[in-house]
Amino acid sequence: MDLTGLPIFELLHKKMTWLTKRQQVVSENLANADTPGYQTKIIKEPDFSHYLGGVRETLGVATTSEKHFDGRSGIMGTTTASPTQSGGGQVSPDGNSVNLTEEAMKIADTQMQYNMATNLYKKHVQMLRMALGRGGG
Amino acid sequence: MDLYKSMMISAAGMRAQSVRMRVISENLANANSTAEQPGEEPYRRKTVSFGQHMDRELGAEVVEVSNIRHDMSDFGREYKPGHPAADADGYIQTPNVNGLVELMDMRQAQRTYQANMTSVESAKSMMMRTIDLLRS
Repeated sequence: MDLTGLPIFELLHKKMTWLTKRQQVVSENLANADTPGYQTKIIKEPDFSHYLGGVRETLGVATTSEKHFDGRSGIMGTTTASPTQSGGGQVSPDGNSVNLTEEAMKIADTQMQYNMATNLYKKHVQMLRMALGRGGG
Repeated sequence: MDLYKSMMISAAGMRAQSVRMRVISENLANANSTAEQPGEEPYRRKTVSFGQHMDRELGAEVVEVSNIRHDMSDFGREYKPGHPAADADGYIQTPNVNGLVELMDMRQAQRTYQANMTSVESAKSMMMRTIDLLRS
């Protein structure tokens, strides 16, 4: 059976491929951290929103006053704040724009996401095994 | 495989920093190497520059030491009439090596080396995770 036929495995496969590619780009940036004139390379974020289809809209709770939290926007709208591009525009005198701290953060993030992807993969394989009735659950 | 590729890129970065460390050591070791005869030059500080290089086998741009040049700044002068290289006025030329500059260079090389090392470790752990999938 082709596991990539299942949407979750296809998604995880794509996510892991992207994370691998990102790791490569970050390595390249770090290796060139002292190369004059080197510009930091950024990899485009993948867009998985179309997989969600119509379920994107989260369910809120009924409110009787506009001061009530509806469960969607978070407290004082903290979750709706748009992410800002950090550390941008810091270029050293030799024209190198690599920010070591930022790249280190990217590495940590990549690793965490990769761990999550592999764990999810394992869990789903376990679920399939359970359905087959050969233990594992 | 991409993770292997990222490890090789980091390895190239570490290699470049090692060359830099070697040159820094050379500079520091020769910080007091004066000439043997009047008219000769003392040790001249060396500098390293990095450049990008397209590795066709790897299919990625890796860093490499593009060239090692000499620092053409002025030599120092010291009054040492008894020195074999002293000129008619009793002065000798001293190398243009500045310990502080070398120390800072060394620190930077160390930091970049560490960053590359972290990247290798991260790629390795991702690879191990993937292999672990086979065991579940």
